[in-house]
Amino acid sequence: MPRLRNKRVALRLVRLLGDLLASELPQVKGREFVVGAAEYRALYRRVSPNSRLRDLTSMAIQSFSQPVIETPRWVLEVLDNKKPVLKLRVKTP
Amino acid sequence: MKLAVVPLDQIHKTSMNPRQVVERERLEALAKSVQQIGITQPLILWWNGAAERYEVLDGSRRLEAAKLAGLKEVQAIVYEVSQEEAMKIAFSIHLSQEDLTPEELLNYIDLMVQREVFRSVEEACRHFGVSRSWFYELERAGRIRDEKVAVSVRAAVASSDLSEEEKKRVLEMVKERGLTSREARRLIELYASMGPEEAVRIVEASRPRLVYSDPLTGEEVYECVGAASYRLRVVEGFITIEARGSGALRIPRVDASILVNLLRMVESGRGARRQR
Repeated sequence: MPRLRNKRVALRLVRLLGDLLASELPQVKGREFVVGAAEYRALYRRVSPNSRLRDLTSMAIQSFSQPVIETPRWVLEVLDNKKPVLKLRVKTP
Repeated sequence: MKLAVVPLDQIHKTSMNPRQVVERERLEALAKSVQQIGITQPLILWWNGAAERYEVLDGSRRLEAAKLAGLKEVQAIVYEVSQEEAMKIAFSIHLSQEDLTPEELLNYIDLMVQREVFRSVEEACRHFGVSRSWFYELERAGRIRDEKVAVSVRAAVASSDLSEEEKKRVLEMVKERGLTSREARRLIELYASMGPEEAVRIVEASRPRLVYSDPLTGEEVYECVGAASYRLRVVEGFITIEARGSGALRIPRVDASILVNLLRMVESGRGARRQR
């Protein structure tokens, strides 16, 4: 398994995840939605197949992320950092 | 402001704290220290009257460590102020903490401007008295009002020698093509000498592309041509990187950080050759 030690990289991965969710899912699920483990896996299969990006992002969520991450565009809540289960609220489309 | 002993289950972590990531190793070390001598420095909390709960302004790691150490309550300094004041307090405290990343600080300033705690990035910088380099970078970013573009990109565009029209064009390209900060800086470098179309073509060519994939062996070849030209061959748990003029190197696939460092070396090598 790859290892993740740098928290700046972890922050970028989590923010990339938020950006991906905010750009990919609101058309289908509205401005506020919960993303389960299966949808999370499907997202990375779609945007970055055959890469370790999902593993690294899972590690970033498990080992580094705070429960709530807010940017001017979205708010990401980590409901379960192991599975993971996430809740995203998009502020601006 | 008051001193209080607050039960841990009443304290919530929210986005009021600028810190978005914590290092697990440091947290475990802190938890051991809390187990041995307890929490010596009180947490700083904000009483959120609307939600009737305490929110952490400073001390999210101490809170986590206290939970790991099995404490039931902690000493805290509690502020009963407006949300705007609470954000200012949280940022003032964290500005002096060296391990907070620039991205976290920039993001929090953006949030404060969005929530109208300050009217502009410049006003926020003045209020907190940030260092000169920080101030100027943020001030440059503040000149371009486009919240869809990252602050670091706005700063790079604002400080470039491009005309106002060209700056607008670059920002449009950054948004349309979803360029990263690094790619945006490269685009600005190339824009003046070769025009917008050619510059964006080179920047986009710098992204690795899958050029070959074998479903039987699982072999994949990625190619990147541009600022750094290299070819990645991924097969059976190994990555082979072939950089132009630097030969080939085969490394185990397991450690992605080695690959990242290698690519940095390749790029810095190209930069050095250009300067000569």
